[in-house]
Amino acid sequence: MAEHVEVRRGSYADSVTLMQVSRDVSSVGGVETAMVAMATPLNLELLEDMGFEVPEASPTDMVVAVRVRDGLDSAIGLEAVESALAAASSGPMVGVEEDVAARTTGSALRRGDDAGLVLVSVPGQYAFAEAMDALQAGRHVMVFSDNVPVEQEVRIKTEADRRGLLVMGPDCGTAVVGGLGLGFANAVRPGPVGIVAASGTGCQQLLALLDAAGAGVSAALGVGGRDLSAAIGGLATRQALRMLDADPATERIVVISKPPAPDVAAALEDHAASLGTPVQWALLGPGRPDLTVAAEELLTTLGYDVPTWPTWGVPSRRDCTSGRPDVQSRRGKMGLLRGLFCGGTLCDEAMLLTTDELGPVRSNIPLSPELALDESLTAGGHLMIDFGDDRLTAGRAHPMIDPTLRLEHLAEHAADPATGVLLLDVVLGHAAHPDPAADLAPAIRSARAAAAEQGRDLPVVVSCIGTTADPQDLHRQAEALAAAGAWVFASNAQATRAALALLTGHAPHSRAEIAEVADRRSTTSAISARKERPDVQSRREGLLDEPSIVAVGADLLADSIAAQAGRVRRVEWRPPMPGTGNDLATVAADPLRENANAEAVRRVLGTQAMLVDVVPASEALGLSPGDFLHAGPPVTWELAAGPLRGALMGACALEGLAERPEDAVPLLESGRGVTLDPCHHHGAVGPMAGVVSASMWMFVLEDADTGRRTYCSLNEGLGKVLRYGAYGPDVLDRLRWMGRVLGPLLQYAVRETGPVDVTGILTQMLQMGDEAHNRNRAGTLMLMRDLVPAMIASGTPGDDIADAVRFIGNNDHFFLNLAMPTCKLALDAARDIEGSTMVVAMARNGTDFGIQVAGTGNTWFTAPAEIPDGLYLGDFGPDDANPDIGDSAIAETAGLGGFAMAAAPAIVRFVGGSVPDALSTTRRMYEITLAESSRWTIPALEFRGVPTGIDVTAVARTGILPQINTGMAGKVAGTGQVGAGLVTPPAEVFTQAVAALAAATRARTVGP
Amino acid sequence: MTARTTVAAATSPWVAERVAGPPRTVPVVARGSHAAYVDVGGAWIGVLAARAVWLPCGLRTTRLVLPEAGDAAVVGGGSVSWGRYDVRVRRLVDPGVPRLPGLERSEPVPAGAYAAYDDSLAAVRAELPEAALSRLADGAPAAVDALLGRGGGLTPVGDDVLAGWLVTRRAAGRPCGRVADAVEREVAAGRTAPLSATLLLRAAVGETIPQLRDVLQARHAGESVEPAMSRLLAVGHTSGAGLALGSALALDDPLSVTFSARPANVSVEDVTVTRVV
Repeated sequence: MAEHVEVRRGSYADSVTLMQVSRDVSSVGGVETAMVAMATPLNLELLEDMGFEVPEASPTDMVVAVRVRDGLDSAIGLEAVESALAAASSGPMVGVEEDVAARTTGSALRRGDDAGLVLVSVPGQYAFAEAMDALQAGRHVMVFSDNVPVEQEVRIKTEADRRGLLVMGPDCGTAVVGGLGLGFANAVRPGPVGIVAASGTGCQQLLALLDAAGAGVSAALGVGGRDLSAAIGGLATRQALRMLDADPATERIVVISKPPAPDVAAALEDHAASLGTPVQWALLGPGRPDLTVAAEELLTTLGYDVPTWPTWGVPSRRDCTSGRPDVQSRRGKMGLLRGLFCGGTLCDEAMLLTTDELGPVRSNIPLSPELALDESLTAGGHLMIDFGDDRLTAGRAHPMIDPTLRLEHLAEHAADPATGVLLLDVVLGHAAHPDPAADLAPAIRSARAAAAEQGRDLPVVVSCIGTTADPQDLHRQAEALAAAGAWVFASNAQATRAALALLTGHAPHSRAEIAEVADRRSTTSAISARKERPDVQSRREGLLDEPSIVAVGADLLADSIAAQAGRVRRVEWRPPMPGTGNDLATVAADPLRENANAEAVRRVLGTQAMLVDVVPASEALGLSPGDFLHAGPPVTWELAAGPLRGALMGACALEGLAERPEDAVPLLESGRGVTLDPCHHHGAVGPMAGVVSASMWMFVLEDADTGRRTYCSLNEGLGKVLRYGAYGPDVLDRLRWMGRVLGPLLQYAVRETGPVDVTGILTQMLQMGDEAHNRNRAGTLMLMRDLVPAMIASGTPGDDIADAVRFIGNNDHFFLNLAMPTCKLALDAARDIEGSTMVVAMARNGTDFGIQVAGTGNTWFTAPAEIPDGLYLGDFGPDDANPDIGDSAIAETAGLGGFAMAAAPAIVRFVGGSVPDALSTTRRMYEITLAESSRWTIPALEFRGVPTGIDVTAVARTGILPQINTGMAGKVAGTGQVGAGLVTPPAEVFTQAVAALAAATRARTVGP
Repeated sequence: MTARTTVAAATSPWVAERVAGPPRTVPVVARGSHAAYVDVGGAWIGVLAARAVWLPCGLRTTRLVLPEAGDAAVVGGGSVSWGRYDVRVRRLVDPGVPRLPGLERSEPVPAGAYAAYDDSLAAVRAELPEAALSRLADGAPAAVDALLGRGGGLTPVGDDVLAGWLVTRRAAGRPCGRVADAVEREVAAGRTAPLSATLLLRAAVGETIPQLRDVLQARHAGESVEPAMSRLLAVGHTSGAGLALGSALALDDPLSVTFSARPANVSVEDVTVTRVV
């Protein structure tokens, strides 16, 4: 037997799609079994159960496992996997004219979208973040996902309530707005009834009956199964009632649910009584009317005739009114009722009716705990199973989509002589199986035939819930089932009563009897008195008018909307970085976050940096000889990489602490008289090794509004220079000349010319093909244009001026050392904003990559830096390269460099890739940033602002890492530059940052 | 056999009924890339692309461009088919405007405060006899004779005015039966273009385009109508303005009238203006 197991890292498809793929592949000739799934712990267990070797994989990886028959090549299975995956690929992504799909709900909604509703169906633990995105953008949400923790439900609904928005769900599988069926819903005619439903299939039963009676529905709003519990207090129900009351087209509202918690019920009844629209309560529980009775009451009060509810097929052999049926086991006892259901509420309704008539019913969703079935799902006595219950849908699609498990049970019960009647529901509509009768009718036929062979007549009663406009067509389905020998009803309650009658020999209740019984029961279907419409004009909420939808999660739901001529755009969602799910939800729930980030962005975009002076570091930063600053997060000599060591050695010689650089090593090792600190801790930034020592001259950048300052040394040029770890005599000579001639000349020029608007130069650079990290040519020239006149008039000897101008002119990267502190100046403005998730620094010391975040103070989140991938100079190759180094990633942090590649497509000649790659890199960065710059815009993107303000939560959610363009240093000290390329931070720094933000949120929100 | 392509469509229950039943061949009476019309027993049923105006007699699809239609189509079983395309009803929507009690109490759209509105309405008024408009404002059935079929194109502007009036009166709960009856009679007598006829009959039961519905909803809710009104006025060449004018007349809005372009040979009766300047 040939087996093949492989892991596809970073591949993703939703679970429903993958189950279909697995099934398709398993059915290919020669394939014994196959499983294609995301490597969640549950799926890996299933994989093991199937006898496969379990690979190392995380939930963000896809695992493909195929077993083929002896003698065959597993390649046939793999081919089948490829074609199944290709066939399953989804429709057009959001923003079809762009090449980067939206990866989060927030991103999708920022694309100038008018979507009235977001439909969330990602796995439950991730639904919260998507839902909060929607609410933050002012849209209603439907959360189809289940397994959302109750605290999160409270938080989302409280937030929605604050904003006057509706949350349908969590675990809301059914809604209808503007005729559009969302989730499992039916194609129903428009009409005067508004439904508020805490139950999906209960809602579907009502939709079907109202449609059959010609009444129709203005909207069906789901509120999720838990909304009416004490924990939630009916928040969504309240909102739904308000919306339907305000809708002029809704004349009557009906609320379908199990009975709510008593306090909740009382509060809602008060609320309902204050509305202008009458509200009917259809609460399903012991002693209360069934859904069909509720529908009939509704119709009557609206003035519609109550029709005879459709039935199809002939009752099996025995007319149930003419005495005892001969449907008995050989022991002469009454046969047993076996109910096999897809819909939980339909099962509940059937159980309630059955309990009244026959006594207790065992179930996996029992009416009381002692009636619970064990895992075998078998029992003597009457039983009813809800195959849609969570425990039966782990690793399996819902029975409304995949009938397999139910059909197995059908066959088993049919073969059991104790079975008196089989009762099933078939739920039609959007998103459900396209032709349930195709599987069910033959199964019914076989079941009855098998029973007949044993001399038994086995009646099969089916409730067929759907409408004529449903894709499956109610009549076609019902007729097919009837032709197979089933007795089919449009009403689940009637079907149940018919099944009971077949067992007991009593006629099913007449309508009059039912009505009488209903009257005698408690007044749960009380209709609040109609009140005068208040003077405030009501307004139909846009949601109710066929909204366009943004769908995130299972493709099946988006497909179903498109199939109803609805407008839907899909988010290309992926699970977040492993281990971040809970923390992301905590941070998403932080009440400070939205405003904190807005403030952070405002401050960053509002900072204007002026070059005001050029002074030695001793003056600017108070450095003495022996004090050294370096790029990146804190590091020690022991851990420092080659380029940094070389630069420190050279700097020691420069400051006269050692005769030659090599002599400085013992000093640096001992640390005596030497201090080592990140540039960032002193308001400075340094490119590559970034070593700053006392005598080096520094550019001084100032924020005109606040007087805050940042600093950076002067750029030495390309090739063998100190910042690449070279420390030869010419390196030191050059540094001394820069200190003696260049620094003072620039100081004079700046003081004479007046402050230079560096932020403004950056604006122009982007229009001229620079991105301010690896391409600074235009910036350098513009700086020269500003300063050279004053340099010339400085009175300095002409040769020195010529040398200085030539020096700057020969160095296309000269401006980098102004771009960097400008970016730092802007980002520092956002430091220490509590609750903000924005990155304020990205920096590397040659060993580690570190980031700092606005909401977590001065904490560095670090992990080993990666080696850039790009193009090499001369004979150099990957083995020569040092890991990523330098503070220059501050450019990307502010939206330049790799983030602005679309402004500098020529960069691809240096860092590799193609021009389209350059454009799509910038587009991808929009997915992880909070805003677009107002000043720095990109012509090729129609002057769209550069992506500004990296949001660590967006990085964790999308897995998209910030793209950095960088030079590459040789790992051996003194080598110099070996190339240029692309690099990203290590993902772990973002995981750490999210964890820290979550901890800060928890600490803040817990407390007195 | 080539595979057939299903195109999903949303439509009203009335249109759904017209395309239900056994399949039969019908003529394609008008076609373009954004809309194609078939004649189903005298009613013009449209198949509409995504950006076409959502007429109440249409099957709305999300396709940007319609597949090219020939001279005939097959209608039945919930779909309209031509070539290898089946435009299938998959969703039912309500193009009707419900009873909006707030309309009665609503503020009129202020004349003179909104230039585009005044200009558009003035352009429409210039094409129609002032007396007829005045009679319509009074709810007199005689207005129908004077307005029906007046103006050119698939939907003559006089018909648009009548349609806007009918939908609005109905939504406001004011009597409109006599005018509606007159419309039905004259339409049955073939007095106007067939698409317009279909739309007028739908208007008589309250069905109209979403843009007019939005204006009425905004007025009922006491909100500013300007955004919705701009969108309505942008519909068609003059259709939107015609609907808006009819709607204003139905609610007794004061309308500014410019007489500068009035033709010289106007009769005395026509000049009698009972509407406020």
